Formats: sequence, structure tokens, C-alpha cells
Amino acid sequence: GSDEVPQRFARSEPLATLGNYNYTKYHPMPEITAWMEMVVKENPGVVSAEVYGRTFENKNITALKIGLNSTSSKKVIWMDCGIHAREWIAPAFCQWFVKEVKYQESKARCIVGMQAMILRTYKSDERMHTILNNVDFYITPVLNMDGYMYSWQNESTRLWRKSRSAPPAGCNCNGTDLNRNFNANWGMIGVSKDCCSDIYCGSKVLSESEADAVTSFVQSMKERVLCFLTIHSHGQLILVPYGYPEIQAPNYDELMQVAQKASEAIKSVHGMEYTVGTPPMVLYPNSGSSRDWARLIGIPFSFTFELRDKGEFGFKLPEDQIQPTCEEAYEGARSIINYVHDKNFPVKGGSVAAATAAFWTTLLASCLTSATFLTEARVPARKILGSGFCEVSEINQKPAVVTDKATADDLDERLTGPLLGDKQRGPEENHNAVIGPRHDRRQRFRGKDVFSQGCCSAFVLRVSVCHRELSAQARLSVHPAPAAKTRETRSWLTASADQR
Amino acid sequence: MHRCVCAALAVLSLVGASPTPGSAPPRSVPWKASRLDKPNEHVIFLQYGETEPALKLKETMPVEELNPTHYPARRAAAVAQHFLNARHGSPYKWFHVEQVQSATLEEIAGVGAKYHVVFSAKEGVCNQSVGLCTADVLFPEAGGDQTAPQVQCSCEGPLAINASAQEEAFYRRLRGSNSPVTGNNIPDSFGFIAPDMKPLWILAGVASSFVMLKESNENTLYNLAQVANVTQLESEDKQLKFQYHVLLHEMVSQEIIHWKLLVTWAPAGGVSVLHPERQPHCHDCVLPPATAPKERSDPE
Repeated sequence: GSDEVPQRFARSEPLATLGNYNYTKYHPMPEITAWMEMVVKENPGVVSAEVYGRTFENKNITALKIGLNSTSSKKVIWMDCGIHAREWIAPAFCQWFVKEVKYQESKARCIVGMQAMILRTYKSDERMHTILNNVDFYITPVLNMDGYMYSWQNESTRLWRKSRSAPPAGCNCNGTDLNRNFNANWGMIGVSKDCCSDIYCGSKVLSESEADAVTSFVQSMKERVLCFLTIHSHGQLILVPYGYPEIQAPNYDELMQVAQKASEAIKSVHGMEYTVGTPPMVLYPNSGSSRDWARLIGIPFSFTFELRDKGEFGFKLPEDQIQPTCEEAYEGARSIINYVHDKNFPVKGGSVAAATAAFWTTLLASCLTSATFLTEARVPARKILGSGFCEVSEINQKPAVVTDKATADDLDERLTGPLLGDKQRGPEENHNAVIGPRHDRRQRFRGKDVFSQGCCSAFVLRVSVCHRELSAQARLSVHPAPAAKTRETRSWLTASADQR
Repeated sequence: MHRCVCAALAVLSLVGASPTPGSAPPRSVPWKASRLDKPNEHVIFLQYGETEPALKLKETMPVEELNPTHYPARRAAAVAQHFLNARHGSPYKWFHVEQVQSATLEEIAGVGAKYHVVFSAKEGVCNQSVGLCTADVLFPEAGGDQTAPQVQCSCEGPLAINASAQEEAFYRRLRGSNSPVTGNNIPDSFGFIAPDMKPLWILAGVASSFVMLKESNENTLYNLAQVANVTQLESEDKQLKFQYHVLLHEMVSQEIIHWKLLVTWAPAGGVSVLHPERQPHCHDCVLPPATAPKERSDPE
């Protein structure tokens, strides 16, 4: 049946935990489905699965909803991948994106001391956490599941593009181009009415259940959707509405600016050029695309990403390019997401955060040079508590020692308690706080408690707890986190782990 | 990995009254609106299967600046790229457009659309820049005898990049081998190309350039998508001879178009393509694997 993966294409080992998953290889549909189930299972309260429709061959079209404190009135950012079957790098990117969002969010939840050490990502880690509080992501890793599975059948089917729906009467070929089937000037230009064509727009608008599913689902929450991203390959383009040539979006200038900024963010990663423009300018005019439809119903920001390359390998992008492609696309997507989020949730206290981060870097730097730091990194919280826990009450003063057991117990509980899905603590309360007798010395920044001064042991405790959490996330990737800024964090973590 | 011996040789100028490449084109010429912005323009794109050429209603216009990032300039540059590969390509030489720097369009009534495009290019095997290339690409007017574009192109940098060491080694290996080389599905579904298949893939790209050049018009953008199969054939002369079945991707129609090509090559001469045959549109077809005429070599 179509659910079987032919032996020739059977990939690696079965998915036992998320730690096994290789984000730098292409995965057949059964593996992606298993991965989605695992992501949901291992991130309760943050990730959930939503089935919002059926493919022609009756498979469940599923989105991963990612967000914190999700409510039915939260704003939404939409991303879909794999609307065209042969564009394998697109589903690979959606999986990478999910992995990266979870990782960034976990880092943000880590202790402030850790955040100071990864100073240059302080803002972004903090930001992803804030974004996930304010916005829910809906990510569909493979929209055209029938087509994607068909493209995995053998080498002859690899370059399939369309859905796998039955032909209309009087015509002999399967499948409709899903990205010509939406209710956006349907059938007008850049399409074919011949069902054997790769740009066949369907027997009528929304004839395809996959396009219909997206339409119904997004329509049902359209007032909440801030941004609609649809991921394709190839061509290295960021397309802004409209694909239809005779009309222009009212916020066209802003769309171009945002896309241009995303293109610059992409280029900053590996130097790749992504051209920005409307399809009639930089690709070809077309109608019936999901991106056009999203903009037409009022979603203010709607973009198509065409990932690598420019034609040398085309749809068959080699697997060794998956990581760099995903790294740059992630920065591009994040640039857009940050803009859209900040526009709707203005950011406050930026300079305060920067000053805090700067302070912590200096302090942590001096901590790291002390020999005791490395030793204590391996000592569990209770042991340190047994010998006393220090907290600096004033800058330049000697640390005071806590010997009060009640405080120590509370401290231990907070340090070693669960870091995910911690429902008791509201957004204002820092669930990672280290409490001591000088509680009132702490200052509040953006709802998070921050020590005005720190102590080497305190950092160490924070680090060891944080290390566990980050290590769990770090195992999700084959390679360390993309940007150089986070690489030094990882190598430091690895170094201390090696000393265990 | 082959060690690339890429020596810079003298600039190879191509025959024809092409404009001198020496003078640098103006860098910051303001871009004017492209033809598609004009409201009285209406362009219907050629649909797959139609035999009539695309119908265009347009006015004759003076020379106009084109935006180098927009598709008309990029398609013209792609045609120039096919020309460069057909003329200068080999199993170890494959040219790619990097970036279009500037372009103009002149509609010549009764003749066609003439693009003048300046672009940076590089040779992909040795990863060596060939500097700026200047090309004139004339797409003939619909309805005439000519359908293929006419191209003149020259580049600042060396097109005759010296890859002769690898070319000789490849030539000798295939000439001397008892079992003719065959290959299937290059690249494979995961984009992987076995190292000993890579020159055959590049040769396919070069050979396909002959076809892509001939088939191009203002409404197409071609790339080689895959080598379905390749079989080395016996050759009467000193050339290597191959039967190729290639899949070309055409971006505007998004179609995969199958072509069978007979390709010959020797290090001294260039690539020749004989008997190019377009294959019928194959919607749900399964391609047969390559079989060698004498000994069958296992494609796996």
C-alpha cells in the first residue's frame, strides 16, 4: 500500500526517542508522522497535534501547534511545507524549524546566568519565549502527503509535484497543482486547464481536499493569524503577494521591506542570495496560490519561501545541504516572525535587558576563571547545600552563607524541579529563581527575577540544572546549533559534560 | 575529490560582432518599469501541449533598462549560460550564472526581442570565476522560420579553463575499459552523485545545454533535473560516445521534459549532440534502467 516505504528507501533505525532523529536527512512520511507524535509526547503543554483535514487518499493532514499558555484567542503564525511533493527540502525545513523553536525556547527558560553567557543570543532566546507566550505556531510539516509519499515510491516518481487526486471526466492524468487551486483569482493566469499539466489548477476552485482543509482551518481563525508562511523549493526567492499581476497589496511597501530584511538575514548566515519580489517580477505570474489567498482574506503578512538551490540540483538538493539551507531559512523566517510579533506586541525595556545581560557576562566571566567552578559543576544541588550555599548580598562584599534548611529545601526544589510545563508559576514569577534570605535584593526585569549580584556557586547550580535541560535539547540535533554565537555555549557544555 | 588544475589562459573571444566586453557597463542606471507593469500589456503563457506559439500583443519599444533581479533579465542570462556550456563545456567544465548585473531589452519589429545582458559567471567544477560576461540574446519573433534564440557571448575571464589532466584521465579510463559505463538516476533521490558518475552528470548538463538553448524562449527557464540513464556506446572514431536519457525541468510550466541524446566528446574537441529526440510526455511512467550493449555493469 501507499503507507509502505520500499526497502530501497527505508531509512536508518526506527525512531525510539527524539534524540535519535536526524534532521539532516530526508525522511519518508511514516518517519515524519512518528516524529510528530514524539514531539507532541515529549513536550506536553507546549506542542499539540491538530488534524484539520484529509488528503485525497484519506490521510490525516496534521499541524503541530506550538505555544505556551495556549488559549483560543491567541494570535497565530502559520507555516506549511511540502505543498509540492518533490520539494523535499521544504518538509525538512519545517521539521528543523520545530526543533529549533523548541530549543530556543528551552534556552530562554534557562537561568539568567546561562543567558548572560550566551549574551549575543540573549535577546533572541528571551524573544522566542516571549513570542511563544503571545503567539501559537501552526506548522504543517507535509501538506501534500499523498504526493510526498508518491515521490518516495521509486526514482521515477521522485519529481512528482501535484496532489494524487483522480482525473476529471474526459482527461487521463492524476493530480492537481495544489498551489493553483486556492480561491485567489483561480484559473486566470499561469495555470493550465489540461489535467496532465504540472500546473493544472483543478476542475474547480478548491477541488482538492488538501487546499480545502487549509482554507477552512485558516479561515476559522483568520482574525488571529498574523503571518502566513508557505515553504517551497527551488529558486532562492522570497515571494510577496500577489502572484496575480494586475493587483497590489495595500501594504506592499511594508511587505517588501520585511522580505528584504529576511533576505539580508538569510545572506548573513552562509552568503546565499535570496531574491525578493512578487512572482510577476521575479518568477512568473500565477493565480490560485495559497499565499495570495491568505493575503486576500486579510492576513497582513504572507510570504512564499523558495529555498535552495538555483537549478544546479534543483529539487534533488543533496542532503549535505539540508543543514545550511535550514539554518539560513530559519534566520529568514525568524526575521519575519520577530517583525510581525513586535508589531503586534511592542517590546518594552530593551535597554534594561541589555544592561542586565552585560552585567551578567562580566560576572560570569570572572566566575568561569575560578577553579572551583569546574569542580562544582558536577556537584548536585544538595551537596552544595550541605556545605552551605552562598549568595552575594552586595557587590564587592563577601558572600553570605545560607544554612537555613527550609530555605535550602525550597532552593533545591526550585533548582531541580521540572523546567517544562510548570503551571503553578505565572508569567511574572521566575520559576528558575534562586531564593535566599536576601530575597528582597533581587530586581525584576520583564517579569523575571534577576540577582543584582551573583555568586559563583549560584551560577554553578544554575548551570548544572540548565545543562541537563540543554543537553536533552542538544541531542535533538546532529550538529551543534547553527550560529557561531551558540556554538561556544555548546562546546562549553560539552566540555563540562566530558569531565563527568 | 579531484585536485583542480585550473590555469588561467587567454581570454577566448567568440566569433561575431559582439560588443566589446572590456568597457564596464554603467552600474547604477535607474531601473524603469518592466513591460509587465504596463496595463495595456497582456501576455498569455504557452500552455503545455499547444503547438501554436505564445500570443503576444505588444508595442515596439525603444531600448529599455531591465531590473537585473527580475525574471526577463535572468531568463536571458540563462540562455547565455546554455550557450557558454554548449560551446565550452566538458565533463569537467560547467558554467553557471552567478548574478545578473545589468540588462536591456530592445524590441526589433519584424525580428524579435533582443536582450543585452551583463552577468557574473563561474565554472562549477573548479569553482573559478570567469568574471563578467556580456551577451546578446535575440529571441526571434513568433511565426517566423527561426524558433531558437541567437546568442553571442564573451567573458572577461578564461573560459578555456585548463582541466585537461582530469579530462585526459577520464577519457583514457573510459576508452580503455572493457565494460562500457552505464549509470542510472544521477543524482539519486537524495541528491547524491557517486564520484565516478560526476563527470557523466556534468557531461549531461553540457549536452542538455544544446537542447535547452534551442528550446528556450522568453517564457521558459530550463535546468537539467536528472540523468535518467546513460550508456556508453561503441565509437567508430576516437571520441567517447554515450546514449543519454535526461529529464529537463522547465520552470514556467513546471514540466519535466524527457529527451534522448546521442553525445560525443573527446578532450581535444568539444561536446557534440546528435539526434536529440524529445520523448512523449510521460505522466505516470516508469523509466527502464540503462543496459550496456555488451557486458551489463551493475548500476547498484
